Amino acid sequence: MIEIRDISKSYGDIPALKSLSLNIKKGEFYSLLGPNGAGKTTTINLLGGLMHPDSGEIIINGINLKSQAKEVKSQIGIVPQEIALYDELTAIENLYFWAKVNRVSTKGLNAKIEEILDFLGLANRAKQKISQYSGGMKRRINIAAALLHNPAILFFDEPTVGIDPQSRSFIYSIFKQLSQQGKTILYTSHYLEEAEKLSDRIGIIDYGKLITEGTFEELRKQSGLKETINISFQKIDKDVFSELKKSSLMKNSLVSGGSLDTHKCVFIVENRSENLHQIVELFAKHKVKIQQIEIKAVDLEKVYLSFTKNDLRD
Amino acid sequence: MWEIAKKDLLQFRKDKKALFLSFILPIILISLFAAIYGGVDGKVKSKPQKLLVADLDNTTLSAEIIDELKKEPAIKIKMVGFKEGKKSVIDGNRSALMCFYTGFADSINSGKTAPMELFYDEAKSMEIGLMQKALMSTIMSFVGQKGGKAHVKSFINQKYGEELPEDIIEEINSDIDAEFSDGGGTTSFSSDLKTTALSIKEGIRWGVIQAVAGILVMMLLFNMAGMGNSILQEKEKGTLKRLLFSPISPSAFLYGKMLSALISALIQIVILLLFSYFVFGLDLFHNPLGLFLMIFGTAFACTGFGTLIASLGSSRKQVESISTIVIIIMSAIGGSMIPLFLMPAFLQKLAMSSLNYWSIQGFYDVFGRDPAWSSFLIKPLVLFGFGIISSLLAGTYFRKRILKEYL
Repeated sequence: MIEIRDISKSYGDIPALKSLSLNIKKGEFYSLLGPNGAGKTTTINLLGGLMHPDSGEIIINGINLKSQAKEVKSQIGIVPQEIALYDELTAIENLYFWAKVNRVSTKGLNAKIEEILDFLGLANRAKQKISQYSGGMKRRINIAAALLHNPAILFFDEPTVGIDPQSRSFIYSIFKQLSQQGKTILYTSHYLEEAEKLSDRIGIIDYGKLITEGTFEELRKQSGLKETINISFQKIDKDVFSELKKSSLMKNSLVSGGSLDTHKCVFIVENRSENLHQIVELFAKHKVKIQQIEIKAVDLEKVYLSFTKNDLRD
Repeated sequence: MWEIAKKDLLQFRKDKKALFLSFILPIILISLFAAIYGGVDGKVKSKPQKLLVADLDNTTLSAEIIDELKKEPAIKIKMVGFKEGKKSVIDGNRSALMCFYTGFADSINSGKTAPMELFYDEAKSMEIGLMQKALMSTIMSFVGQKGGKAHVKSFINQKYGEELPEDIIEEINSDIDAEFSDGGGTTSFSSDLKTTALSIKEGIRWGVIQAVAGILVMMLLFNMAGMGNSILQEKEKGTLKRLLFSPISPSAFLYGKMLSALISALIQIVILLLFSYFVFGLDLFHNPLGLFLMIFGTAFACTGFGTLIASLGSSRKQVESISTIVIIIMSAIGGSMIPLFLMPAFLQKLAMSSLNYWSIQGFYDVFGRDPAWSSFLIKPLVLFGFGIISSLLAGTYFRKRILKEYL
């Protein structure tokens, strides 16, 4: 659906993208993550035909973007970082304008606007000026403006910046619905928890290069990060301690940096969901009463930081 | 307290725009207005008034008075035919025509009222008032001297010609010549200078035309600069970026902006003119086609100007500063604030580089003068030219500066 073939782009002497290649399948929710200045927005600007790459090509839905930009643009809906709306106009007036700009026929447009406002939970505020909206409502109208021409492809460039968790959660539910409708979505954000939940695949970009891509599990494995399970239990005697120590599960954990004591132990495992059941069974077998289990999972943020490192990008 | 003051002064020092507005702009404006009022160290010379002269008498005496006028530093003479000169005044190209009719010399020699007439452009009556002072002084002095001498000689000849011997009469005549030759002959004799205003009809309120045309153009420029500024507002808000993601081309965006500004300018002009029609009785219907051309030309030129200014700046604040300065300067030298004839010669020439000048002169033509089309059309044509050039430049700068970060 979206093919980026070996594109490079520089701003003067500063390279923004270096031989970037991506392939996003039809109906896929793809998150492109990276630190500030990594090249995410440049990628979206190039995909939206706002600028041209210095080299390489972009094929969207089988059409070369460079040669048939207008045709490609009509199949794309973009939600920019900014609230790109007119404050003095009402929600309906804004949506009508953006629909006409995207060549939506006037016939049935009002009904379509009402439908989208309803979908976004803003039907009762349709005639209010955007300036009177809250941050979350503005974000929702910002999304609505990209949906009116029913594009098959959606680009979301940090679409939930600066809003409260309730609004963000509502917007993520909308993204989920759009994804379920079969829309192909390219998403950039610094909210990694949501990206982890929503994405079919994730790409990590840094210094204009794609470092890695895959499903979250694939990335977690690639990162080599292990999960930690801390277990507290009633004090055990020497025999039980020796039995536990001999088990293959504990042996593997101790090799990876785990520990075992008379009243607590730390397991270092590949995947908590695969190992937790075995651990509980092991303790049950030796009649050890578990008092507390604490899991330190590997989330996307840890994986992301393992690829991009902690140093500041100013 | 001192820390706050110190911080504010530091901020002020770092804000180049504020520094410019506080110090450089007042210096520019003071210099400009000082130049307008002719007060820059006395170096600015007042411009001699141009006077067309038609000599229909074509005698030694008429040539003599023209020579006297040429010596007058406040007047610059240009000899023309009567019809040509009158047309120049009607067209607004020249302010006044002084005509010495056939019989001028004979009338003076016979001590009668000399046939002469000053035609002037009623739109420039204030300017003519100043010129008339210099003109009257020269003409009356000449006529008084020549006519007074002839009048006294004629009186002596008629009264005593038959009674006194011829040699006595000659002696008296030579005494009269001597009396009038040393400049002491300014007798009570005088001759009326007939003055005729050349305008399309009686009772034209030139002051209203000056106020309407001058202020209309200046306010339109401010409004159009504001409209042009909305391009930068779209950029700052992110709506421009979103528009560029849509199937709309950058040119369509720019010219769409200009179209809305043009429509707004046309509405503004029409409303101001209708107000002037109902409140001040400005005659809008004397030259409807000319008025249409002037309204459209002025709106188009101002729109192009506003878009050009917006394309030159990189932020809205910067554009606001640039446009304020440029508009004030253009309005000052173009005649929106001060009538042109009050300005020194170099500023009157410089005025032609401002669109205010062409617009004001064009409105003078359609409301008060009745010039030939060839003479009038230059004004809307210059305005259209100004609009086209500034629109093209705006398009170039829009791509180079505003879209720079995208393209």
